[in-house]
Amino acid sequence: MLKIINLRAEVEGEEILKGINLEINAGEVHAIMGPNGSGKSTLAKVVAGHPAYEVTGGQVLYNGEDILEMDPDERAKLGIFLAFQYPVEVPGVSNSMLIRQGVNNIRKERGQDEFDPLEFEDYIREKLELVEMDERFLDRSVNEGFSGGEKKRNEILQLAAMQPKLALMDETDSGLDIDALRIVSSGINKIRNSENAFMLVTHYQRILNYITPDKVHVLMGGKIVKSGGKELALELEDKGYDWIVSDLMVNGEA
Amino acid sequence: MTDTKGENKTSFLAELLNKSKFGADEPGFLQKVRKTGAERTLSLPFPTSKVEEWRQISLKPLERGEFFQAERTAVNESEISDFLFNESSQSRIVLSNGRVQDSLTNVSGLVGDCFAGTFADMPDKYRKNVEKRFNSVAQYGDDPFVPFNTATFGDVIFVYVPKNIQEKAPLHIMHVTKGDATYTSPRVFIFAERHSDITVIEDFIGFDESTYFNTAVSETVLEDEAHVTHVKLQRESTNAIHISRIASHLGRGSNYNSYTISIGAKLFRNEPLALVDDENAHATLDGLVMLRGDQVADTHSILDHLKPNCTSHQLHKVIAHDTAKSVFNGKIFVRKDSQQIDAFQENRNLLLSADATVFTKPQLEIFADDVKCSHGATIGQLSQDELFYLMSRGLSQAQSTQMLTYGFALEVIDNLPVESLRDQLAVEVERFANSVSAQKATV
Amino acid sequence: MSKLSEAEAVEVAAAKKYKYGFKTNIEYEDFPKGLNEDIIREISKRKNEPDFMLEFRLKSFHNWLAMEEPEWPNLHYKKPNYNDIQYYSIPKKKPKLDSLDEVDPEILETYNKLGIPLQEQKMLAGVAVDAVFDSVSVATTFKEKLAEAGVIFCSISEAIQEHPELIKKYLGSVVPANDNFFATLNSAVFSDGSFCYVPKGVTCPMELSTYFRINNENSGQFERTLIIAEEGSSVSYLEGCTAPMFDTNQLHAAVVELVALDNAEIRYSTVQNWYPGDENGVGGIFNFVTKRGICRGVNSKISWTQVETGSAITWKYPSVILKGDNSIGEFYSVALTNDMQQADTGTKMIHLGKNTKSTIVSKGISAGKSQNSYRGLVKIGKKADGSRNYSVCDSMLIGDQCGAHTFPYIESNNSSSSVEHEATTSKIGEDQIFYLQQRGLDEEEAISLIINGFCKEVFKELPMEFAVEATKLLAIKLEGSVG
Repeated sequence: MLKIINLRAEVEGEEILKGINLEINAGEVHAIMGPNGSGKSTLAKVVAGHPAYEVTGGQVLYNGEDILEMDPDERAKLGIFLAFQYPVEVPGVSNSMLIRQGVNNIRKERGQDEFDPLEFEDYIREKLELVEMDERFLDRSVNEGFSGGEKKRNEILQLAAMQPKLALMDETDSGLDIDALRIVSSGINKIRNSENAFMLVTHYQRILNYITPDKVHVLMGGKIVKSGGKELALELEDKGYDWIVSDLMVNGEA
Repeated sequence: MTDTKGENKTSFLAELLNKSKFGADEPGFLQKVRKTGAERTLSLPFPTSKVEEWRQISLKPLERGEFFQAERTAVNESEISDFLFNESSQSRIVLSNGRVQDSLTNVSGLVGDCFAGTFADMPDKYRKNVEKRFNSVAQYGDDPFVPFNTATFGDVIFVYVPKNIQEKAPLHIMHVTKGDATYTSPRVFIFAERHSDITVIEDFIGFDESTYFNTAVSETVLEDEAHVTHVKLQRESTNAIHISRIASHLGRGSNYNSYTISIGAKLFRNEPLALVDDENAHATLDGLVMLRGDQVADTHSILDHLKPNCTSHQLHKVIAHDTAKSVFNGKIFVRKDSQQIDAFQENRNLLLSADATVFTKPQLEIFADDVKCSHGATIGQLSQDELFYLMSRGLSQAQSTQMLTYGFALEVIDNLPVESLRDQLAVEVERFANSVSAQKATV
Repeated sequence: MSKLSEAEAVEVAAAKKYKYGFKTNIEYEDFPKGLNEDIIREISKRKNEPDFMLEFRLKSFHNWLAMEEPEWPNLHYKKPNYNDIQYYSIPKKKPKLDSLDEVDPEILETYNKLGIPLQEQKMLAGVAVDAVFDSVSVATTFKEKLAEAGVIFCSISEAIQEHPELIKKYLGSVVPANDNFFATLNSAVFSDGSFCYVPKGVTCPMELSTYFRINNENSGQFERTLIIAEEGSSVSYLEGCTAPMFDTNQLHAAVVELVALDNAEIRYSTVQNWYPGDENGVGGIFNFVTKRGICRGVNSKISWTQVETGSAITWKYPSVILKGDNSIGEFYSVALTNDMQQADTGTKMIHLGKNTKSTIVSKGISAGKSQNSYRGLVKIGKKADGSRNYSVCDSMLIGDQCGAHTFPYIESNNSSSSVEHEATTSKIGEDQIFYLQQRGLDEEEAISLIINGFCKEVFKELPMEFAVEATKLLAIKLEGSVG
C-alpha cells in the first residue's frame, strides 16, 4: 500500500530525513520508534504533505502512485490520514462541521452519496461510542479548550469517521494517562482490519502493549537503522536507544 | 474632527527663541545643529487641539505663561540628597538649569573607555559617530518641540559606550530646574556600540511649586547586539510643564528597554519612540503614571517595526485620582514585509475618583500578514472582589485600597534595574496610595 | 481559439465575483444635475412635502455649505464633485403605490433577479419588504397585515404625508440637521427611505426589511430611515444593498435614525454588498453612511449587526446613545475588504445613563490590496455610574499587500464604570489550513471554514436567512485571494 523509497526531506535548509526506505502492506501495523529529534514525526508529516517540509529526494508511492506532488487534501481524499501529535485549534469551527465536510468530500471522491445532516448524526454517534466521547464535543470548536487527552481522542474520532486506508499516528500516545491510552488503543484496534494499514510513530513502547505491531522500525538520525518484529520494541524498552547505537557501532553501521 | 493643521502660531516658541541667547563659545558642530533646530521651529505650526495628535490636551497653560531662559544657578547637595542612588555615586551627572554642575558630578566610576559628559570633553575618536547620528533619531513628525529643544539646549550630555563594553554602574543624569518662570531644554544623546551594555537613568527634578517649562529630548542609538536600559524619571515641581521625547533607533539583535515613570508636573507629555530598524531586535516601552490634584498627563508612544523578526512589549499603567486627566495613545506600526513580528501592548488605567478622566487610544497599524499583534486597554476601579477579600482578612478599607493601588503600580516598578531606584519609587507609590486611601476613608 | 480581450476577461471575472452587477433599462424622469437651493425646493415640491420639511431641508443645506468633507478617515479617494450628481432619480412610470400591479414590470423583474420577489404571495412568510429603487420606494409588502398589529411600515415619503406629527417629532432628533458633512447633505436632499413605527407594547409580528438598489449611473442615493419603537415594543429590521457595475463611482450617503423608548428593543441588521469596483479600483460605490440609535428609555436596547463586503469606500459608524438607565447597546460587525477596497468602520457607544452596557464585536478581514480600519469610540459620561463596555476587535490579514488598522478611542469620566478593550491581528495559520486539508477539505474550503469560524460571533446575531447569505457572500468575495 505504502512504499517509501530513499526519501529525503528538509525543513528550513536542515536535512531531517536522510534516505528512508519503508514498505507497509494492507492489514499491517508498523511501529516507527526513535528518540526525540530522530525524524519520526517528520516522516509522518511528509507522507501527509505538510507544506513546511521540502522533499529533496526519493519517492513516496501509495498504491503504486507517487503522491509527493499532491496537496494534503488530495492525499486525504485518497485515504491517507494523519493523527496529529499536536492537534490544531480552529476557533469558531465546530467539530461536527469539520468532520461532516471532510467525510462528505471523501465519500464524494469514492463515488458514495454524501450524508445529509441527519444521516451524518447517526453515523457520527456510532463513532463517538468508539472513543467514549460525549456528544457535546461535536458542537464545540475544533480542539479549542480541549484537554490533551480530549484532543487525542478527537483525532481517533476523526480517524473512525473518515475510514482511511492508511493511518499515520503521530505520537498519539504521548501525554495520555493510562485510561485515555486504553480508550485510544481500543479505538484503533476496533478500526484496524485487513484492508487498512497503520503507521504508529512513538517514542515509547507503552502503546504497543495495547496494539500489537507487525513490524517495528527504529529511526535515528533520519534513517531507519534497525527493523524487527514486536520483540524489538520490548528490547528497546529494556535497553534504551543507546543500546542500538552501541550495537550499530559493533556492527560497523554507524 | 477635522484634521486641519494648527494655525501658524509658532509665535509662542518663536518669542521664546528671540528672547534667548546661546553660547557662541560652543563647538561649531553644536552651533550648526542648533541653527537647523531654530529654523525648523519657526517653520512648524504650534499644535492645537484641532490636530489629532494633540486633541485631548490643551497647551493654553503653556501659551498663557511667561517664561525666560533659565539662568545659571547652583544646587546644594542637601537639596538633592533624597534623590540620589547609591549605585550611581561614581556615575552621576548633575545639571542645574541645563548646565553641568561639576561640584556634584562624578563619573569616575565608569569603566575604561565609556564616556559621559559634554561635547567639549568627549574624546575625538567618538566624534564621527556622534556627529553623524546626533539629532537624527528624535526627529519624527511635525511637532515643534523637538526642534525647539534643539535650538535651545544647554549642556548636551553625550554618553558613548564603545564596542564590547559592559557598563555595570547605572549612569544617573539629574536635570534639576530651579526658579520661577524659567524654561530649560535638557538634551541627552546615547550611542551604544556593538555588544555594549549600559543603563541610564534620566531624572527630572524640580522643587515645591515653582513654575517652569521644560522640553526634554533624549536619543539612543543601538548598534548590533547592544543592550540599553533607559529609565526616565519625571519628578518635576507640581506647577511645571514638561514636554519630552525619548527616542531610540535599534540595530540588529539589539535590546532596548525604556521605562518612563511620571509622578510630577502639572501638565506633561511623554513621547517614547522606538524605531525597530533591523532583525531580531527587541524593544520594551513600559510606563507608569501616577496623577493627583488637577495634573494632566499625555503619553503618545510610537513603536515602529520597520524590519521583520522582531518583538516588542509595552505595558502602560495609569493611576488617576482627584480631578486628574490622563491621555494615552500607543501606536504600533508593522510595515510592509516586516513579517514575523510579535508585538504586545497593554494599557491599564485605574480611576480612583469620580472626577478623574482617562482617554486611551491603543492603535495598531499593520501592513504585514504574518504577524502576531495584540493590544488591550482597560479602564476601571479597584476590584470589589479583591477589596472584599483583603477586608475579610481583617484589613481596613483604607489599608486594602492602599495595598491594591500599590500592587497595581508595582508591576512596572518591579522590572526596573536599580535597587535604590525601586526603593525610592516604592516609597513614592506608598505615599501616593496612602493619600488616596486616606481620602477614601474620609469619604 | 479566440481569446477574450483583457477587458472582457476582467468583466467575466468581475461578473463571477459580483453577480448583482447588471443594470435595468428603464426611463427616468428628467431632473437636472447639481446642488443649490432651487434644486432642494424642486425636490420638496415634486414630493409634495409640507412646509416644515422644506425648512428642514433648507436649514440642512445651509449648514452643509459651511461644512468641509472630513479628512480624518483612513481613506484615500477622489472627492466627488457634488455639483455633478443628480440628486433625484425617479423611474418615469411613477407608480401610484396602490397595488404592486402598477409597479414597472422591469423593476419587479430586477428584484426577482436579485432574489427578492415583491409579489406578496411569493414572499417568504414573515418578512415585509420595502424596496427602494434609486431614490424611490417602489413597493412595500404586507402593509395591511402589519397595520392590523398597529405597526406603520411605509416609505418615508408616505410617512411625511400621512404621519407628519411623527416625522416632525422624530426626524433629525438622533442625527441633527448639522451633524456631519454626509448626514447633513442627506438631510438636505434625501429622496426616500423607510419608516417604521411600532406602537406601545407591540412586538412586530414579522421581520421588516428594506432592499436598496442603485440603478442610475449619474444619481446619488440618499435614503433616510427612521424607526421608532414605543414603550415595551420590539422590532427586527433587515437591510440589503446592491448596485450595477459602472466604471464611475456612485455616491451613497444614507442616514438611519433609531429611537427606542422605555423597555423597547430594536435590532437592525445590514448585509451591504454594493458594487466594490474592479480589482484595479475602478468604479464602485462610495458608501458614506450615518447610522445612530438612541436608547431614550430605561431598559431599552439597540443592537446593530452589519456584514460589510461591498463598496469601494465604506465610511460608517453605527452608534448608540445610551441615555436611559440600564439601557444596552450592541454592535456586531464583519467588514471584509478585497482588491482595492477601503473600509473605515466601527461604532460609537456613548454611555450617559446609569448602569448602561455596551458590547462591541468587530471582525475585520483584509485581502488583496485593501485597507481595513476599525474606528470606534467608547465614552463613559460623568453620570453613567456602574456602566460597562466590553470590546473585542480582531483583524485577519490574507496576503502581504493589505493593511489592518485599529483606532479605538476610549474615554471614561466615571470611576465606578469599567471599559475593556481587546484587539488582535493575525493571519490564517498554515498549520490550521494543513490540518483541515488533512481532513479532506481543499484549500478554499479550509479557508472559508476558518473565516466563518472567525466571524461566528457576529453571524450568530443575524437572522437565519441573512446568516446563510453572509456566509456565502464571504466565500465568494475571497475566492482566489489566498495562496
